[in-house]
Amino acid sequence: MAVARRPEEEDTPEQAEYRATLKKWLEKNLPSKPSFHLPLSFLEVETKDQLDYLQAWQKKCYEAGYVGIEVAKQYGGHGGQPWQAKIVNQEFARSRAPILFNVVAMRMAMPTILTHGTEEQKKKYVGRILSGDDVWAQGFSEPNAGSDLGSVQTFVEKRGDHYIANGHKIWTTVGQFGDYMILLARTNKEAKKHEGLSYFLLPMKQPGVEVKPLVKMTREATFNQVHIENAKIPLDCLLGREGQGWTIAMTTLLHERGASGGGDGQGLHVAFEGAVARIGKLAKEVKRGKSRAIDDPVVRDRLAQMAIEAECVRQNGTRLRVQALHDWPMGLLLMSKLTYSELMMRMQELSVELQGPAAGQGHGSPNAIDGGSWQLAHMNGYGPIIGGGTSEIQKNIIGERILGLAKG
Amino acid sequence: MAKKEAKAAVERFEYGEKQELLRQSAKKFLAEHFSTEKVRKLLEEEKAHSESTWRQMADLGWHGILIPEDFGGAELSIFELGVLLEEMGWNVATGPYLHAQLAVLVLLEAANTKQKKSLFPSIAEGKIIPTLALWEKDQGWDATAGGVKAKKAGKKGFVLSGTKLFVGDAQNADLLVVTASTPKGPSLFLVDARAKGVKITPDKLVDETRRSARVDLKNVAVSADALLGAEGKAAGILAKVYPRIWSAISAEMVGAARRVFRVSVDYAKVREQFGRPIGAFQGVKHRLVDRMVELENARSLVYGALWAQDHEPARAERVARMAKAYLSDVGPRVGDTAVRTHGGIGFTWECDVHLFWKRLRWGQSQYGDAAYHRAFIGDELAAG
Repeated sequence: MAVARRPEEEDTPEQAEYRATLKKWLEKNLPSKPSFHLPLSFLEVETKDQLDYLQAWQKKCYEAGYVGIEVAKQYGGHGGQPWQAKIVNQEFARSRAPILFNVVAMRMAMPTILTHGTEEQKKKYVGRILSGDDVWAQGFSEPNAGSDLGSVQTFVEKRGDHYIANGHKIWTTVGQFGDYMILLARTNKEAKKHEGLSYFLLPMKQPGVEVKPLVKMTREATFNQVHIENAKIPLDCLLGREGQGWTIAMTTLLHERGASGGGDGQGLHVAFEGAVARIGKLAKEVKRGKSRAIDDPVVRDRLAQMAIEAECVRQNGTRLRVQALHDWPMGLLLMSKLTYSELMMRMQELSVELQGPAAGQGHGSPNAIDGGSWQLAHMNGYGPIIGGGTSEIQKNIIGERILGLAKG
Repeated sequence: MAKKEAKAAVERFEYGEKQELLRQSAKKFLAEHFSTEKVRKLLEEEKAHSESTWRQMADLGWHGILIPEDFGGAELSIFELGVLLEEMGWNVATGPYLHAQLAVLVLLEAANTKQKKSLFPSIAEGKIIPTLALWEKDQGWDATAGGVKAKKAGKKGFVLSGTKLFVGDAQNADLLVVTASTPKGPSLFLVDARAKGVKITPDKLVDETRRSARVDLKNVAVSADALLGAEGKAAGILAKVYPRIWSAISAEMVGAARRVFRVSVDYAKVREQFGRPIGAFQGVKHRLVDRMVELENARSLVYGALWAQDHEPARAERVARMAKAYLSDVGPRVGDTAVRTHGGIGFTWECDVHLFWKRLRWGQSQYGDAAYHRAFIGDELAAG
């Protein structure tokens, strides 16, 4: 059987050494499996136990120099090279290390602060984001502002030496543990829709911020509604200037779409190839009398298609570096969230469907395969598809910004 | 293909100035020789083949692109051939170029030095056009299961009899590379297309820019030198060459698909209905975005497959199958989207869309479609 070439086979001696050190570190430091369900993504962090476990893991990784590699030293990063981050991604994925849970902080708040923040803001927030000490939540969506984000109604006004915020945010992942929220709010009711918005770093641990869990279809309560009532925001928690909120939010969303799609694809293929391998293994284990699920030619055909698309992820990561082979300069980047969330969902569908009558067994059922974790992951697949702009919104954005089609 | 020095395995393809220069020169040449106006004229001709264009391609070194320098070629790799084929697909170029190159891929693998010496210089000059004669009635994409027989004729050679179908550009070819069975098993033979007993009857293809024919062999006598590779070893030789063939055809398909997609997007920007461009409607917009995403994937995959042929021997077959499988689905789907986006005009002869639609369907039908290749990939996943 032709196997995928292992990433280390193209390492320079320096890279090989870095990888070897990292592997040893992982062997020594990978935490033992907890008694509770370990979240497979930041969208699934529900309990304090889970948070404590993941926070400790992130801190350990940060202190060892494996988080914030490319971030400048003066802001709490390690001032390292992109190849180091790539190797870390590959080896973390390969060793099936616990997730780095502080994703809203690292992939959304941090790049936005680094782009638009003052020197003081960068110094104050970035280090504690990387170490996992400060948990960040996103405060963009509202009950009446989902895909149409520009119509947020949460209102913030200046009152002397601070701001006062009032409003209602929703789908706030990890909000129950949030220290800060990146808050998109209206500061000017007279200005045009997008021009009246500003971007704040809202301290969440205060009386005016009430976080109520919102229960998902999985019964997990990993995201929340946040009621903001006369909450105080210090003046230096405004990011950029008043009225710049929409532009700054676009920075966040660009990073989010990259982040939830896995960014530039470097190392991401490892995750998809791993998923294909795990589903393949499952399909061999699931018996149907004398045959196995994988002996069903339709299952096999679908799995083969998944393998092909995982290979596309790998090769997209390569082509991304070759400007001459791009019909649309931003095409591969802007399509990643759409493509990869949908591909993962199709993989999850297959993983459940091939289980036959066991496919209906829920998470925690004694008769479920693997404790029903496939079923849970399947339902949670809607998180990346809907969060950060639904696939339909992504298609509008790609159609309009990349292909140049008229707005609807 | 054999390289002068073994290259270190590099997983990630490298596309640089050399390839881009080749592409730019190809773009210029092909735009002039295979504008859609010219393609439309050529497809009405019996052979869809311009001999003067063919001669100029020889001057550009295209016929010998894969052929070693020692035999008068440019000795580039299949990666560069892929660049060229992508541009030919972009132009729905007519003529026997692709079929000749597929035959060269087999010759590179199987020909002995004497055969190379006698054939390669003339092929590089465009004076001999080779093509593969593999398929037979009711054998699918199995080139070695058919009924064409090669009987030993003393020590002097063999006598071939039987019928080959779907032989690409047989009517334009000088040399047929034929699979035929001897008592030792399926073998490859070089057959002069004008030899006594060879009868070539043109097909009528859906893709009218292409040519193929039925080849009847009736007691065609060939010398012992006509045996290509060892007797009875055709299956092994072809198995080695097929991944290169799948990669090459996929490269041509991705070129054709990118072009017709671009035409469709441009049309969706200018065609107005209900007072606005049709691209504003999500039914149209989202379908185009779905195709864009598939094309982005497809192009990456094709270059990955081309690269793997010379640089990742362990993955070469697998990635090439993936490319051909993916393009066989995505290529025709892009053609379908093109017709639908154009609406009524897209269904007409005057609109160029059908040229690409047909070319993409043709590609799908060659050397295994999506389900065919996925079955192999699936078997591999199920093994172990």
